[in-house]
Amino acid sequence: MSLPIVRIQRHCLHDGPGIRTTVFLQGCALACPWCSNPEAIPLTPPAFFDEQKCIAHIQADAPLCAGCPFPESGAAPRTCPLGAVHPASSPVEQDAVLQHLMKDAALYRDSNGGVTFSGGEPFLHARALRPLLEALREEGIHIAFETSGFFPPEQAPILLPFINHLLLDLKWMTTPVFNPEISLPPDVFEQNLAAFQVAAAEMTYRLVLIREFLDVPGKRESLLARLQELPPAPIELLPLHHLAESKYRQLGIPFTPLSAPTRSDQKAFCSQIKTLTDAPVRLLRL
Amino acid sequence: MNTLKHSIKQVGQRCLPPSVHHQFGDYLGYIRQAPRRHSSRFQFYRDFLSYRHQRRFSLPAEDPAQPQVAAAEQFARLLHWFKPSPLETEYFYPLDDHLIFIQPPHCTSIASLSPDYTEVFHLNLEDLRPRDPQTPFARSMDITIRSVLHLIEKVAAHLERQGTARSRQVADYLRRLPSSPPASFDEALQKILFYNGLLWQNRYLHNGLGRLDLVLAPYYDADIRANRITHAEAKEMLKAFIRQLGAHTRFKSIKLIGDTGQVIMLGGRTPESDSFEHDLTFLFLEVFQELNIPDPKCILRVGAHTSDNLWLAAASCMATGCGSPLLVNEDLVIPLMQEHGYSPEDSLQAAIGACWEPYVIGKSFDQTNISPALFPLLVFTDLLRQLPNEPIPDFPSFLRRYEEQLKKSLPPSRQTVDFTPAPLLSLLFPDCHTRQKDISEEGTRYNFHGRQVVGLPNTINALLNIKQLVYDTPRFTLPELADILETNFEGREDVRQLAQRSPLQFGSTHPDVLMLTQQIMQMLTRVTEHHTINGHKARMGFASSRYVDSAESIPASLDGRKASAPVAAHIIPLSPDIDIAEALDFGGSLTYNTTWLNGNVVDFIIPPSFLADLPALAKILKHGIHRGAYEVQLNVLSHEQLLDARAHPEKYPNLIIRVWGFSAYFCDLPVAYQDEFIRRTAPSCLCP
Repeated sequence: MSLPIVRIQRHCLHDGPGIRTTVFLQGCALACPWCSNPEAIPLTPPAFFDEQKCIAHIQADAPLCAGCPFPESGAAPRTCPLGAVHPASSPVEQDAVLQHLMKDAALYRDSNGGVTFSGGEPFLHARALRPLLEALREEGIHIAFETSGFFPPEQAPILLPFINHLLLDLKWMTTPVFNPEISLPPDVFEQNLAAFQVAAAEMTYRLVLIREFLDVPGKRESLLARLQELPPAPIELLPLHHLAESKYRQLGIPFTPLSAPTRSDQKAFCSQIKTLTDAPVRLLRL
Repeated sequence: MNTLKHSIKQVGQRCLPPSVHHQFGDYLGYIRQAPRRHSSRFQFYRDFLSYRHQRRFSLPAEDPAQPQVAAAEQFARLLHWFKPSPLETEYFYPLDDHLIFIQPPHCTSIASLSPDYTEVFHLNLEDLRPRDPQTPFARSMDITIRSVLHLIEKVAAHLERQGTARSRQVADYLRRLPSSPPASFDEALQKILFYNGLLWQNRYLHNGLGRLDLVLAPYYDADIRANRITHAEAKEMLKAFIRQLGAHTRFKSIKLIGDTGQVIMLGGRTPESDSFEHDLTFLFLEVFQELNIPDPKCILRVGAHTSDNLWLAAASCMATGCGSPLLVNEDLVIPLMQEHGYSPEDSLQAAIGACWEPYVIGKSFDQTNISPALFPLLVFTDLLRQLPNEPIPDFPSFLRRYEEQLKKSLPPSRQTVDFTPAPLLSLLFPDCHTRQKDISEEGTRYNFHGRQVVGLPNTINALLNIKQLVYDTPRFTLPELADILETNFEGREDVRQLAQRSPLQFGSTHPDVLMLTQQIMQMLTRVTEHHTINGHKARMGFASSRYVDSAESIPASLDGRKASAPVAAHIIPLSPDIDIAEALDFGGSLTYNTTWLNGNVVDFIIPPSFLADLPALAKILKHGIHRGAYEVQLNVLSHEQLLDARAHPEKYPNLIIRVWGFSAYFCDLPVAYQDEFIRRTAPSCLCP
């Protein structure tokens, strides 16, 4: 069975405990405008078109590119002999994924790290992922999942017994923006949160900090109130970054110019949260 | 500037006899290529004039009957001119960079050796002085020892006259130096600096320092135990010692400022211990981290035995971006050295020579970078020219033809090199006394010389492209590609881009890339199997320096590189898609046989953001070495920072770059090297 792999990134330091390999999977039920992996949102992989790599950008002779409609047509070409166009993800067989993940097995053990599944929403691929998780568990590899909690609730029990750590991304900056390709019950987040709570996995909450939303009157107070309602667990605050801006451009998706709060504001909000909980609260700098 | 270069050359020719003016030309060439920091034309002229009016040249004898004796006399003359100056630093360093030792013509300079200072500490110059010097070697020793003793007396008297407590103490150290081992850590440092300074004064190049944590440990321990010094005082002494070594970088450099080869080895196994990790090992790393200077450099021997604490100390030092330490996988290197012919006991005293080349401290005369280097990229030019008459049906046949052509292009299989006699070095190498031979005449037990291979990563990418574009999914014929190369991709930028963007790139762990790389390594092993230098098996490696200037004569290549553009050095990933994990895997997946002993460094640039978690970096490096990487060096740079440094050098006086096997200030580098690093750090780094 294959998995739609966007990329596999080794030596990750912010995707759970220790040094980890993170597997990014295609497809998400949400379409957050600040998403740092916009290519992973659609269920069908979109194509990147890197105009910088297009010979038209370099303005050179290119017999290989004869017949290419770009730039005259204005639309991105579907294929490119020079590799300026490539799909966001491709199917990879489980065995190949496992082999890749096991390259750093010794490093995981030495650093108390492991493998993290992210995306996209990894729970959307529960059935396809289960054999891989079984194999990883057999090898004694620590498994983490980064999830929004927005996925069909029947998927959770398939994977939860194998998961050691859940990184729950709280999409609370705005009301959720849904990917129209996937329909979910209205109380999906609550249902999945309840399933997470009874699972044996450790939990970390993650919250992206976006100035434009935090500055809305009453927003901070409502966030603090909602955080207080959650079962206690460590909280990681991630100031918004713009590392994905070029991906939006290459996908032909409008980039929403949001920004991170100032460093002092981040620290102040972090301190506010700390007063509400005994669990560790960490401000990450990516 | 061309007129200036011409006039410099003319002055060199007028000032010096024809037999030596080419060395003078080299010297001036070095000034031209490496402008001093924040150089201005005014400073340039000032430097140039200072060479005419302030320097004093010790010239070699014309056609000497006994070259060793002549070399010793030349050295003695230089020391006779040496004028002691008041002690202004903690230690006395016998190097006056106005005194220039001119090497004899038609001889190759000696470089990249290190005496064993444990043995040097116990040298008794009076005992070594020949009673009846009849042979050329004995006479050269007699002259050398007498001149050193004379210098010591001259300097000690001067320092006593200076009259400060420190100058009197150093004078006392110097008077004890010829016949007594050091009595303290401080005295041991002074003794090393004394001999090291003399080596530089005598114009030996890339003078290594050896395993200084191991050498100094007994003196440090004794002083600490007896409460004569504290840890903090020892650290200050080491700082003064390192600063002293780094005070003449410009004088000591060979091609670019910083290329001094001043290597301090740390850590590693000893005959008595599986892992030598001493207070001093950590102290040296701390000092390098705090001083954050490019010269000298330190190299850490690591392996399965290395403790996590030492890994962390190494990562913390590397994170400063000073380029130190280079990590050497001794679990891989030492067995290979033994297989090559070094004894098991001696190989435990392994050090690294100029950049990445292993040798034995105090027992090797391994000249590891002798010209001519091998240029496997040049083979394509000849091979592709012959093609129209002879189609090559498949890629294995192409590889066979490549191998035949490679064989034809190699230098003669038996190379003989005449080295400059080196009486001072011979004095410091006990083997030379046992054999009564100068080090240049194989006075030491090991004489395994080597060569560099320039542009091997580009060669492998070019071959991968030929496989892909001509045979696997045919889009071009070989003659078509030959024409495209002949015209330097003129009108075919699309092919150049195609070649550069192949998903199969050197440094990737894709099975096709690994297999071809191994094939080419085996091929080079086969074709050089019977190659000897001075009768000993020649060695080589993936590591090559001078990837900018040595590439100027290489035509366009099928990796998408234009004619004269820099080639890739070492094991550097040639695609931005290859991360440090894959680069380390790639380096660890190659099979290094004894032919490849000369150094195979994985060279990676990490962004400053990587350094937020030093324990993680330490573990990544540790596991990279455990998985078989031969050597690892890191740069800590960002593209934006380099662009800004290029535009505003005054803002980045201390920005350090690991250039090849040495580090230098970015602002000191010639523009071509600055450009090369700016290109390498670019988000979509492609060949120029």
